[in-house]
Amino acid sequence: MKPKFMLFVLVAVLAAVVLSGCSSQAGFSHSWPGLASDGETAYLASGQYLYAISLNDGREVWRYPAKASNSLQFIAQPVVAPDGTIIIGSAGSDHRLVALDPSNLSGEGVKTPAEKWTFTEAKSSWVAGALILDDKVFAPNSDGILYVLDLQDGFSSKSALQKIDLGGALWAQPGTDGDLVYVSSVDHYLYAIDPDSYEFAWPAIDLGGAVPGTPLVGPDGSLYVGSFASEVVKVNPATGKDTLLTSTQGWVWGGPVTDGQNIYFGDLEGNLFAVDAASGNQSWSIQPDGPVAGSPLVTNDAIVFVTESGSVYAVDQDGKIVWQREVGGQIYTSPVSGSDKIIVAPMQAEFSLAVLDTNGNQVWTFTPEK
Amino acid sequence: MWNTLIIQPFTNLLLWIYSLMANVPGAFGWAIILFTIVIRAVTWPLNAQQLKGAQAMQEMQNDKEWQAIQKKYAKDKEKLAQEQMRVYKEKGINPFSSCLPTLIQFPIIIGLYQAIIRALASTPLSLLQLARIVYPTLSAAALIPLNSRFLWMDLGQPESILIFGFSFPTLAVIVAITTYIQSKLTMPASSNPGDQSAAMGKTMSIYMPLLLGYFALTFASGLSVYFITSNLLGIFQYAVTGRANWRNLLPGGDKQAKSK
Repeated sequence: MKPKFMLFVLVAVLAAVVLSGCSSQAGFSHSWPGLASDGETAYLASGQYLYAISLNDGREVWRYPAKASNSLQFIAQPVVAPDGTIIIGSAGSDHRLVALDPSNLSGEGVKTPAEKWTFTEAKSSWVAGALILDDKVFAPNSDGILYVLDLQDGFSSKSALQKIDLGGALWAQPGTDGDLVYVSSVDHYLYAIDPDSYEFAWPAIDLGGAVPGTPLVGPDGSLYVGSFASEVVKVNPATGKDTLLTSTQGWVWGGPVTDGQNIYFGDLEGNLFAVDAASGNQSWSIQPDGPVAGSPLVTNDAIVFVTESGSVYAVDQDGKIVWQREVGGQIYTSPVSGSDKIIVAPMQAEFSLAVLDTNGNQVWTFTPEK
Repeated sequence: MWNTLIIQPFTNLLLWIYSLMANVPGAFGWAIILFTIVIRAVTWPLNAQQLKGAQAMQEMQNDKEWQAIQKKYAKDKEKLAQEQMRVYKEKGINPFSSCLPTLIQFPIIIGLYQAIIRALASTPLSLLQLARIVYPTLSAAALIPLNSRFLWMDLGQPESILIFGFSFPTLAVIVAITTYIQSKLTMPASSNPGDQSAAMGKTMSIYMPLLLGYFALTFASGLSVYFITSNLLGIFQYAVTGRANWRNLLPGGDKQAKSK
């Protein structure tokens, strides 16, 4: 009987270890990093830190917090306010949204910015970046609530001006045309909210699938929204009436972008599409080396996009590939630009950030020091 | 291999059951309960075999001939082991038949736990991973995101209820109690004071509730729903097959049985 009992104990311990492993993976919010740039500095939200990295030389300027905490995890897109304040939310068990003052650094060696204010009323993870409109912060949380904060009230511990309960998890930064705030939800809906009265401009639209990307206000003033229903729809912002723009082969994850003429977006089946905004006709589509989860980036010269296979592509307005660079790892985070450079944040690569010039040549990479 | 054989089918089975009752409040909780019933139905013959095996082993412990052999070779462990194997063979007992279903439970528990976490997809990366493992026959775009609420619980999180300001782990307690009841019901009476299997059964009836109670306390409450449903079905199975030893639940019940 003893061996049998020992076997039971062994299996039980093994089960506990395996379950603990799953739990820790599920418990802290493991996902791809958030990325932003203010032109001079790149902000990388990755794991337990938010890093500020100089775009000139790839040097770490500061990190937040000073010491890693198991309760703080960063995956949301950092947001740079007009006054230079950086706003970032945690996806860890500590659900704080914090505003950092990069002009007030402290610490020897590793620098850390001072906290300008914190907001701790959210009940779940911050996966998306906030939208700043005039003096208000519209912060979408996974608890399904869009929190509205006053940017100028001077409080170091903020309370919500308004909590707009939308139900489903909010994973996308809201979009705006200046008149309305457009919020997309993982529970399939698109909402239009008046930023002053907080009332809905029109009834929420069911898009038939999750919408994890930011709605785009197109060159004609229409909204363009992609979803897991494998389609991109065009919405009249005055009436809330939606019409199919185009169907895709796979789920559309990243929000569409525009260069003023075409609407660009990718899908998880590995396609990049360009649709003429005026006519609604598909201009072209190409098949890169893997699924396209991030939003494309429109630069002066090209449309830059990343693939799950770890490649960065630049295509011209006619869909011709100008260059391709294999960075490595898997890239889901939308690329950003600054100082005539293209910044990408791969997962499971040798480095956390890669910076390319406009010809696709790698300028430098960034790996955080421990 | 693990993903293809366990996680993917489990996740898809959960999603499929969920899709059948997507409009029912607490659909994911009901999906876990139905999933457990399916698993229990599939492993019913194994559980029946376990009960039969445990019964046969117990009868052997009470067998006069075996008790005499135990006394005779008390100091010769090697010979005793040889004799034990001979008696097993004579009586047609498979010594592993009683522990096999218990061992099978562990991959199911681990697989179900991972399937629950995968299906609830709380981050963009986990949602992307979920998209990759959903079978094309399921309309994943319409199903996702799953509603993780069931009764008062969030099935993706450990459960507790605030009582007078204290966080009380209701499900962990129910898991421990139902596991204890189930293990007590399956403990046959033994008149042999040197009966190792009876001693081990008694030890297991204490450790198993604690172990599963700890799992329920620490991990997603969806797993606790599985434990409780599985335990209740186990108790039901013992009851309908007439093998439940209800006397064991009474204080001193096992002693009464021994003295008979």
